[in-house]
Amino acid sequence: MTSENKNLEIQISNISKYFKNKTAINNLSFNIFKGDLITLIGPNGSGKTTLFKIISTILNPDLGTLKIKNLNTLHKSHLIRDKIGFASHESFLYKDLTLKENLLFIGNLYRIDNLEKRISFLSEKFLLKNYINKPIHTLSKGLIKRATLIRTFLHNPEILLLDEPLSNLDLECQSILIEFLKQESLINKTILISTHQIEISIELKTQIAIIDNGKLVKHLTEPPSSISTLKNIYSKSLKSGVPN
Amino acid sequence: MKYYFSSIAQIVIKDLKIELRTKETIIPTFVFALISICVFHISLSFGLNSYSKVSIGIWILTILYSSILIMNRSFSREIESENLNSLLISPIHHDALYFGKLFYNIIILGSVQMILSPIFAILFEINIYTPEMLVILVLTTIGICSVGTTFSIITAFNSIRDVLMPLLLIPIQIPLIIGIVETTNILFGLNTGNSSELINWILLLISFDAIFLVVSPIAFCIIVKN
Repeated sequence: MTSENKNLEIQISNISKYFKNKTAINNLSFNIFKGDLITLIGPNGSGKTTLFKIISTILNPDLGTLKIKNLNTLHKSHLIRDKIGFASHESFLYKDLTLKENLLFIGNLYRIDNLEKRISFLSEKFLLKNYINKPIHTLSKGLIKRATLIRTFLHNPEILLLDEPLSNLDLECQSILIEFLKQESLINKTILISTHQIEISIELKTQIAIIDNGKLVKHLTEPPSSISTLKNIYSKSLKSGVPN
Repeated sequence: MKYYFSSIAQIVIKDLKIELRTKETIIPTFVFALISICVFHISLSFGLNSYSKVSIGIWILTILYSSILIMNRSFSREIESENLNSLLISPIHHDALYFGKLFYNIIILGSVQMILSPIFAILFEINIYTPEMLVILVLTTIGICSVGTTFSIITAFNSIRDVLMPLLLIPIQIPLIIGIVETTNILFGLNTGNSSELINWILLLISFDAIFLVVSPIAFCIIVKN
């Protein structure tokens, strides 16, 4: 399916974001269509997380407009927030509550039908069934990461924003997540992944957007055939070199 | 509308669950309030024949300062656990978040007063268990918390929030403090006001609460959005 035939899901028009003297996002424009699967790569501090925070409506852009499902996020964010799932560096979980209590709290805020069933399905999928009644502060970093992913997928969002989703995950869980994302992509979910592990873009056959200094420097609609080709393209696009 | 109230209830229940497990707000606040009234009792016991003229003032000061501890924890807990963003990107109305936090603060401040009041009544030889006094205490608690909840989100992002909170909160509560002082003075016969004056002062307390129950959530939503 070509981009022209698809629905425009996220329309980023000339957005900029400043933090004191630093420009985090610099006049960035980018159209994302329904069902797109995009990997965002770029050096540390290039603006990937800030961009995710703007799309998830945590931050407002200082300049430019962001439309999600044709609604301006500045004025209509309450209508689109339940369509977005954002897995951030932060776990967004209360450490003194158990995993189940956290998920029930979030699930009730999102008005999820068959919540218990959904929690059971996801905790089984991400191998957390045995930890469901444990307080978050007793879990390891890897388990918390899995819990964060469950929390993100809980309300079955149409748009997924995953910031470093593979970090802290063991190999088994990385495969589970990749399989899960393939399934989600098949049902036309829009998925944006920010990562330094560029192999995921080849494995998931994603589009690739290279971001540097808050600007989109390269957009590949098809992934290159190999990681080495991608690394070459990445190096040429940046001054700073290949990501770790 | 049902969803709106259910979101408020979810936030209150979640905060109470965390508080019951950690007791990180109610125990320090109660201990602070207890120490305050004990210090007042000891320091005033040498120069006064009767506590009647100062006891209510001491109660107000104790509750006001204790409330600052509660308000300071209200949103800083969300920020320390990096969960405020999670609430802000959930589909709940931001004013539902305000009211959830408000009810939680009222429950905690109300509980501290309930535990503290018998000790206070014994130490200062005063009967505060009258229906009129109960009305005044309820109105005071709502007033303090309605303003405090909004200020707690303003100060939560600031590293000097412990200093900032009383500086912002106390001046804006001066009408409330005047209202409490006047009503309790009439109730305990310390000035010559009649029942119509008492009603007028109670109306001032109600007006303060009503104004801030409308203005505070609006201000809260503006702060959160920006």
